[in-house]
Amino acid sequence: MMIWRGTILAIATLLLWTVQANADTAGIGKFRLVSGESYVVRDGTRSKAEVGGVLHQKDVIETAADGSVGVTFNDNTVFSAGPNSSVSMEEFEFNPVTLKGSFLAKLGKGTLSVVSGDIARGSPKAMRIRTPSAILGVRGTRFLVRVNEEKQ
Amino acid sequence: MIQRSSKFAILLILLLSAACTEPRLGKSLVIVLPDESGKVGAVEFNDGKNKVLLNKPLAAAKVTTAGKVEAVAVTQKDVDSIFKKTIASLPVLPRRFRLYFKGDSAALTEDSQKDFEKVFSDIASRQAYEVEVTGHTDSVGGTAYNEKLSIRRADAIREKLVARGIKANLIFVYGRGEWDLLVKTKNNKHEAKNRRVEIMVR
Repeated sequence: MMIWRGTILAIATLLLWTVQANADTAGIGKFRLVSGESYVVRDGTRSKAEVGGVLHQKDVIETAADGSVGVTFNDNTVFSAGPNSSVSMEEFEFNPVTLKGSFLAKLGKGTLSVVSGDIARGSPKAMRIRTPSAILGVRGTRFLVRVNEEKQ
Repeated sequence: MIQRSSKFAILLILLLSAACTEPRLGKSLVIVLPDESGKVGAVEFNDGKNKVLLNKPLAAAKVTTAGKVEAVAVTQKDVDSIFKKTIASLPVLPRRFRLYFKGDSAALTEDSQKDFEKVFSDIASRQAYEVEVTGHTDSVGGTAYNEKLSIRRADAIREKLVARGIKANLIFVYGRGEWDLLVKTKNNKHEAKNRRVEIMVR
């Protein structure tokens, strides 16, 4: 009985891993709106953000004084970053079958407008947004965040 | 000269007061808003020691200079002045549609033919889009047959969208056969609500 249970668990884990591995190569979301000077930093290389461009886990979004971007994620979370912002996508995992996953973004500076999607619906700890000095647990759905502490 | 020195004095006072007084809206700020349907969710702001739960329209919390999370009163004016451009950059929200089919067929019911226009205009109104079309069947017929039928239904929608100019490489088609009944039934039961495609537009 125990052996069976172990085997089933192993298979289930493997399936879950496969789904996530596929999701990774396809990216975690896409830019839907880009204005002004807006960039995405991936593996240390900075390039211009483009409408339709794919966002990956660990990417950092950066906007200049005239910049802003809007992103739609695979779990139907939608957010936008305003001017002079820096947002790191530290963690994004989503299983499109179970609709569960985890979302952790860090707002280093600037502003964020968020409408949460499937991940936040899963459990109260599944979606979090960090600022340099505190952490935000998201149960849904619409909220705004500003970080304004560069010169302190 | 006098003018210049008085300007300098005002600047100095402003700088000093900025350095001494606590900024009203803190070094981090969170504000909760109602969603499209007017409902308010909840977020919790936590500095490791103190936490504040925000679950009312315009409920807000800040992090003080000392690093403490505490509730703060904000107005719609604050939202507009700080977040105007940010909110304006929010993409159109994802939307889910359901279209229904005639029995054992990949042809839409008459009502759903009209609803197809709503799906099309929603997609066409978006700057950048991605469409997931998932076909389903009711429980009449074998499971293997129904898997194929569900894909035929999803494909039929894909073709209708492509014919209207929606990009084929941005439409993703899935078929779930009778594995995900919207209305739970016994096997071999005709159920119009189960003969459907679910369309996620984002």
